[in-house]
Formats: sequence, C-alpha cells, structure tokens
Amino acid sequence: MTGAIGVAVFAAIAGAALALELTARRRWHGHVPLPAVMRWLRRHPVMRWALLVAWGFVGWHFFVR
Amino acid sequence: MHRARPSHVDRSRWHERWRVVPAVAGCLAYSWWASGTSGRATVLAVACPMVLGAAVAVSSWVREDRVRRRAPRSPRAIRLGGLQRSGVLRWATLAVLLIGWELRELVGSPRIAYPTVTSLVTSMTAARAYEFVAFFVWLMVGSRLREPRTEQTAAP
Repeated sequence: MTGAIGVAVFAAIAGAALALELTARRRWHGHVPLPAVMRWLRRHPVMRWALLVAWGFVGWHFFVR
Repeated sequence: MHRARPSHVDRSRWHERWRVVPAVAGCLAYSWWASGTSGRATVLAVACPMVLGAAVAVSSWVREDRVRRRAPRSPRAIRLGGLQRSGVLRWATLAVLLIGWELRELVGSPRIAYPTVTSLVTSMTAARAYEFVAFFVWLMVGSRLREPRTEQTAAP
C-alpha cells in the first residue's frame, strides 16, 4: 500500500512538471518554461558546475550497474 | 507569386538544423548500442559522453563568458534573468517537493514499500527499449548544458 502511495506521489510530481511546462509554452501569465530556468541557472558559475556534476551523477548512477 | 529570399537568420537556422539532425541520429545510435552493453563496456559507454559533454559544455561557457565580459553592461541588474518570479518559484517548489519526498523514501525500508526514483528507474530500464530511451534522454539533457552561441559568436 505504501509502495503505491510512493509511486503515486512521484507520478503526481511528474504530472505537475508536465503541466507547468505545457502552461509555460502556452505563455500563461506567471509561468516560465523549464529550459528558460535552466538557462538562467547556467549563468551562475557555481550552478552551472552543479548542473554538470548532477547530470554526470545521474548517468553514472542509473546506467552503470 | 514572388518568394521572399531567406534572411541570414533563416539561413543560419537551416545550417543549425543540418548540424542537429546528424547529431541526434548519432545519439540515437549510440544510445541503442550503450543500452545493450554490460560490465566494463557500460562504464566506457557512460564515461565517454560524460567526458565529451563536460569538455563541450565548459568550452562553451568560457566562450560565452568572454563575449559577455566584452558586451556593455546594463545600468541595472536584471533579477532572475528577466524571468517572472512566480514562474521560478513554481519550479523551485516542485524541485523541493521532489527532493523532500525522495529523502523521505530513502530512509524507509523495505525498498518495495518505499520506492525511490532510483528503484523506479532501475525497474523500468530493465528492458532494453526503456533503457535506450532513458539513455537518449540523458544525452539530450546533457547537450542542453552547452551554452548556445550568441549573435556575437555565431558564424556568419
């Protein structure tokens, strides 16, 4: 039962992210697309390295088993 | 009917498309191969795009930082890069929710009752087709870490 709740929460978060992105692409007021946020984050020296390390970690963690 | 000649902007978009299509095709082929590897071959298959991606991303950052330093500074700092604060807050809230729930699940046991992102993705990518898609998505996300060329550095 708790496993199903865990999966449901992750699915809800994924659904919310998709909804945010779709509303941003339809240019709803107060919504910004995720690529724009990532572009803003990349301008900061610390954040760009954090994003690069996070990307590398995700790849290593999920694909190297 | 007179057809308007493409401007230099349209021509550069066409050139961009002709660069992107083979790159995407290459990533698809590489992802298919990588999803079928095991052991040391998988380590290499993951390490190579990591190293290459990092090199490309860092060199693009250096190039664009150089251009930004030469460009005249605006008299007023633009907060959040001109993005709407509410929009950024929404994404930040979602990120906090994801990390918070992941941490909550991580401390729980057994894993089947407290699934984490890792356990969910691992069970999904057990099938080669899903691992292929996941690897390709990972490569595409990595390609977005590269800073695109601004007008000042774009090839004429």
